[in-house]
Amino acid sequence: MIATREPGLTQAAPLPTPARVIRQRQSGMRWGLHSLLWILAILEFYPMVLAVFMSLKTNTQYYLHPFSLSFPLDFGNYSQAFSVIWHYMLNSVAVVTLSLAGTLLVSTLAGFVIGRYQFPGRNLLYYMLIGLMMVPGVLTMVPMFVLISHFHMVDSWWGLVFPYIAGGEIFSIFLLRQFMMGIPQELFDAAQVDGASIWQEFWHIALPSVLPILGVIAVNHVVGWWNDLIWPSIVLTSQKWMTLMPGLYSFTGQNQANVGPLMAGYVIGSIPLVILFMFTSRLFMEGMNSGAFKL
Amino acid sequence: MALTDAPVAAKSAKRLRRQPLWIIYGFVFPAMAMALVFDYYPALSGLYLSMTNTMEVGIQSQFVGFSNYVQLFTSSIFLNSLWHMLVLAVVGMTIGTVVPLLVAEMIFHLMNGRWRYVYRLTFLIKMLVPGMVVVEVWGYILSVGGLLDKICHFLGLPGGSTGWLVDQHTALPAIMFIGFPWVAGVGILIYYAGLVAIDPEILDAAAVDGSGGLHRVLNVDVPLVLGQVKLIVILSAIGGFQGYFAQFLLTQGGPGWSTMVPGYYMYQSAFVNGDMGLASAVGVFLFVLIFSITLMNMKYLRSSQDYAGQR
Repeated sequence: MIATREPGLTQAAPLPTPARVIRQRQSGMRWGLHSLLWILAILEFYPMVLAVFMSLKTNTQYYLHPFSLSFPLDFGNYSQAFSVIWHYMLNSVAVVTLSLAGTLLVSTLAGFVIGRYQFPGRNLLYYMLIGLMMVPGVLTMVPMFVLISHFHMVDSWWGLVFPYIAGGEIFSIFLLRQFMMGIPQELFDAAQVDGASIWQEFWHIALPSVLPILGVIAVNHVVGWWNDLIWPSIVLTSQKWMTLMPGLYSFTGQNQANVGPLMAGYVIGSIPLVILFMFTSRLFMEGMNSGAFKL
Repeated sequence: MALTDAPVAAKSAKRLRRQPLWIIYGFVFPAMAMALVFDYYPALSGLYLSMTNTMEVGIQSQFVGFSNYVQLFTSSIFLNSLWHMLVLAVVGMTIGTVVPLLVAEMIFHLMNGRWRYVYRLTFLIKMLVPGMVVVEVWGYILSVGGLLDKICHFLGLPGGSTGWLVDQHTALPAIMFIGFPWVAGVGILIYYAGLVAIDPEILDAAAVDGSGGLHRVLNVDVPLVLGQVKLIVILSAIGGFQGYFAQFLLTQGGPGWSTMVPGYYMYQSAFVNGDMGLASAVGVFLFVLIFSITLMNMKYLRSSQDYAGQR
C-alpha cells in the first residue's frame, strides 16, 4: 500500500500521489539547489569575469588591485588590443568560412548518396570514413605537418583548411547519412515521377530537408576552429596569415607586462562566439548532445 | 546506441534506387579524397615515420627500425611523463565523471523546465570561451601573488611563495586544479539526457518507497545512467591521455619535467627539437593506448546495453 510509513496519515486523508510526494520534498530543497547552482556558475565563470576586470585596468591599477574592479575604468586597453587583433580575427573568419564551406559541401554530397542510394562498396566507403573517428589527433599531427610541408602549405591558410575539412567531414557524414535516411521516400518518388535528376533531388529535396542538421554541424565546427590554438600555431609563422588564437598567443608573448591590453584582447576574441551562440544556442546544444559519440 | 535520437527510418534503406555509378561515386569522391589524403595518409605515414630518423622535412632520412621506440622507453623523462599522464587522466576521469553527474542531478531535481534550460545553457556557454583564454587567466590565478595565494593568505593557509606552477611539487596538482569547479562541459548534457530518459514511474516508485536525495541518486539514478557514466569515463580518459594544453601554454612541461606529459613530449620533439621520427613514435604509442581503450569502451557499452535489454 502507498504511504503506510507516513506517521500522520489516517485512512481518510487523501493518498498522496507520487508526484505530490516528490513536489513536497522538492519545495524544501529547491532553494538550496538554486543557490548551489548559482555558486557553481559564479565560480565557473569567475576567470572570465576576472579577465574583464583586468582588461579595464591601467598597469598601476593592476599592481595595486589585480583581482577586483578598479575605477576609473580604462577602456583604452580595448582600442589598443583591437588595433592589433582585428587582423587576426579577419583571418580567422576567412579560414573558418573556407573550412566550413568545404566540410558542408563534401559531407552533404557523400551523406546524400550513402544514405539514399544502393551501390557497390557503399558500406565499405561508409565504414572507411566513420572508422576514422577512432583515430585520435595525436597520431596524425606530426605526419600531417610533414605532409603539408610537402604540399608547400606551411604558413598558408590551406594548411589549416584541408586538415579541418578532412577532420570535420567524418562526424558530419555520420550525422548527415542518418538524416538523409530519415527523409520520407514519398518526396523522392514524387520527384522521380516528375523526371527529376539526381542533382535536382539533391538540391530541391535532400538539401532543404537536412538544413537544420547542417546548422548543428556548422555551429559546432565554427566553435572548434575559431578556438583552435596548437595546430595553427604550428602551421602559421607570419603575422600576415595568423589566425586569432595563435595571434593572441603571440600577442601574449609581447604583453607579459601589459596585462590590461592582453586581457582586452582575450575578451574581444571571445565575443564573436558569444554573439553567434545567442542566435544558435539550440543548435549548439543539440550538436553537443550528439557529439557525445565523437571519440 | 541509445544516446542520439536522430530520426532514422530503417525501412527506407530497402527502397534505395540505382543511378549511373559514376555519378554516385562522383558524389562520394570529394569526401573520400580528403579522407585518403589528409586522414589515412598521415595516419599510415605516422607509422612509417616513427621508424625513421626524419629530422627536418625534406632532408633525407633513413629507416631505423624500432630504435625511436627504444629511445622513448629508455628515456626517464618520457617514462616519468607517462606517470604524470596517468595521474592527470585518473584525476580528470574522476572529476569529469562525478562533478557533472552531481550537477546534472541538481538541475534535474529542479522540476521546472525553464530553470533547467537556463542552467544547462549557462554551463554550456562556458564551452564557447576559448580554452586558451581560460587557461591563461588561470595562469594569473596560480601565479606568485595571484588570486589563489591571496585566498590562502586570507584563510591563514600557507600560500605558495614561488607560484603554484613554478614549484616542482605543486605544478602538477596546480594543473589539475585549472578549471575548478570543473562543471561546464558536455558531461552535464549527456547525464541530463540520460536522467530525462529514465521512466518517470521508476522515479515515482522510488519516491513512494521513501528514496530521496543522495540515496536515490546512488541507488536509482546511477544504475540507470550507467551507460552515460561509462561513456564519460572513456571520453575523459581519451582526452586525458592526449591533452597537453596547460603544458603548452603555462609550464612547457617544467619545472624540471615535473608536468611533462607524452603529448607535450611529442610536440616538443617535433617542433622544438625537430625530431619527427621520435615524435611520431610517441603519436603511435598514444594511438595504440587510446585505440585499445576505445575498443574496451565499445565492448562495455554493448554489454551494458544487453544488460539493460534483459531487464
